[in-house]
Amino acid sequence: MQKLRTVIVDDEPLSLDLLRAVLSEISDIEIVGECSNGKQAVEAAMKLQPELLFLDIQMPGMNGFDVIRSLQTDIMPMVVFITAYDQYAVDAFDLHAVDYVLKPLDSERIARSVDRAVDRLKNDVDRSFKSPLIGAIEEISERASKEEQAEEPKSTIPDGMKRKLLVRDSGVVKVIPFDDIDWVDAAGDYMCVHAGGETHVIRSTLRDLMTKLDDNLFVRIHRSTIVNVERVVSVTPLQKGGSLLHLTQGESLKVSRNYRDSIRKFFN
Amino acid sequence: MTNSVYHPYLNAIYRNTDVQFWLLQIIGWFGLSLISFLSLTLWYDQQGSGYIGHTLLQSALGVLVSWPLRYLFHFFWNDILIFRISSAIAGIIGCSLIWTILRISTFMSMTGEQDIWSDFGGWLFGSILIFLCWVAFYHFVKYYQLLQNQHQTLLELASDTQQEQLKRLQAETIAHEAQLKMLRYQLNPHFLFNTLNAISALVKVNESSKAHEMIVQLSNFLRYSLDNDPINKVSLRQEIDAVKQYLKIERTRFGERLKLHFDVPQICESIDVPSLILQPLVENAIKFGIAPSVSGGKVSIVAIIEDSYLITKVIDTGPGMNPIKSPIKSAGIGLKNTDERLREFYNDDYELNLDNTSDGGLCVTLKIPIDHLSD
Repeated sequence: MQKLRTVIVDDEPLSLDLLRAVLSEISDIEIVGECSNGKQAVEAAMKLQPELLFLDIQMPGMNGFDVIRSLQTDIMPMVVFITAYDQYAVDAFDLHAVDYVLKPLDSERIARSVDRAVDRLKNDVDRSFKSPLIGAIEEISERASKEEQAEEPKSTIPDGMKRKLLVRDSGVVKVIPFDDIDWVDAAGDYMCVHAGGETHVIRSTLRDLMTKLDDNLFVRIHRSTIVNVERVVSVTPLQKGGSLLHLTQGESLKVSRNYRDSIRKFFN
Repeated sequence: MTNSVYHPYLNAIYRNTDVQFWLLQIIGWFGLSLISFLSLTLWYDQQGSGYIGHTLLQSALGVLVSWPLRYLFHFFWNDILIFRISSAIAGIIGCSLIWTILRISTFMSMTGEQDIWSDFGGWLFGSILIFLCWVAFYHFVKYYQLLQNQHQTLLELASDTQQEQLKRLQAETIAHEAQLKMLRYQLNPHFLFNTLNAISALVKVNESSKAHEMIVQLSNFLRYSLDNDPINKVSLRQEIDAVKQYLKIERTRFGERLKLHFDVPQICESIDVPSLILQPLVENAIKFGIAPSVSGGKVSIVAIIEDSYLITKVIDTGPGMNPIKSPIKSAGIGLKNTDERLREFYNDDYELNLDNTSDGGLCVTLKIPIDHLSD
């Protein structure tokens, strides 16, 4: 059978060595990339389009959760989180059936994660890998913010707010003008709204959001992704009819073959 | 205070025996003139102002005549019983005689009655009874006060011992808590599991001598934390050595990202410091200064002597601190714990300061008095 294209991410060089050594003993795995921070991980995931990502949570700059939030749902690989110690995270992962391994890494445990990934790849036609991940991450940040402040403000969207979006970020409600949104992707019950280099997670559906957003500005480029066309700087065609959009913030998004016509309209 | 005394005036009376004495004198003697008026004056139908005036005057005389008795009893208070009894009898007889003579002479001059002197024995008998009562009442009050005082002292003593016990218990609890907190620091699960993971990596890639080195470093570090009671002091050299073990482990983990710098002059090394006092500061420098930065940074430990103080600085090249937040609070339990421990060792004779450095990092300055310079 074909090998799982895998990217490994950890900021500690020794930890990366160990992960590589353990994975190289597993025949199903082909390591296609190694990253030592979150930013590299996002770029590698976009460029290399791996099927599996071993991702350390505690990293400088962009941590493992930030990486998940900023990755496009439609290209999200399967993810196995790596953590040394985090009671909240382990609870949330269990709850949302997200795979994780603990440090010190155990070869057998990692082999089991790989087996599970192989199974999911065969059986999951949907490939909606981002949804449980976002669910777990939201659960963790909710618990953390509850620890910090007992009461958190509710995020409601009044009728008058046509041109703006309200999002809740660690207990604070932020107002984001629709024009500031770069792109949005759906992950199950959650929407990841990317604006100005930040990712805000809200509970909503893509259909709901689409009715509020300006049709002349936002266009669907993938099953779960919409983009603000004004943010697109360049387009790279891919084989098999897809293409890659490059945005002003430096991000790249994949356009699926089925939606290429809709994007083509905008640039004619 | 065991007696419930509510009013400030009452309180003053309760505490001041002079006031009590004079209050009882006046109430007692003028109470007597009231009785004397209601019985003798009315009974004999002596209605002239001289008679009523005399009952008041004899009370005033009584106050004056009985006054020296107080000093007499004070004088003999601690003497043997026989002296006290004799002095009391002498006092009673003396005062009765003086008072009787004064009473009779003033009675005759105020009322114009003659030849009262023949009744001297009768007047004296009454006087002796009154002074006997005075002396008895005086002693009753004195002994009552004494009893009260003893009771009060006993209660105070009991509450003092209780409070002392409570204080000792609290001190013990604080020491225990400090120990537990420190232990939790050393056994910081993040540090421990990441270190074990790094050792496991070294074994896996056949770097056995490096793995061995790291295991020894970790063991030394753990031994130092477990063997040293946080209520003890150690030399700065020992403390720095332990911190070095910790930092070497972290450097193996972080690789190129962590740079270290030590500048501890030899003269500083023998100075005593609370054991494990630098550990939380260094751990914070790693956690907030180095770990969040992609390119890493440098941790420096510098010590100098200034006057009779040892100044130790832990400097990192991280993002510094948010000036809005209170530094000790926002830096979490590590710094708070350090602050508490320093206060226990040096009361207020120490400083623990956090400053942003010019290149954006954080400098934690620890200033403690030097006990002695040995070696």
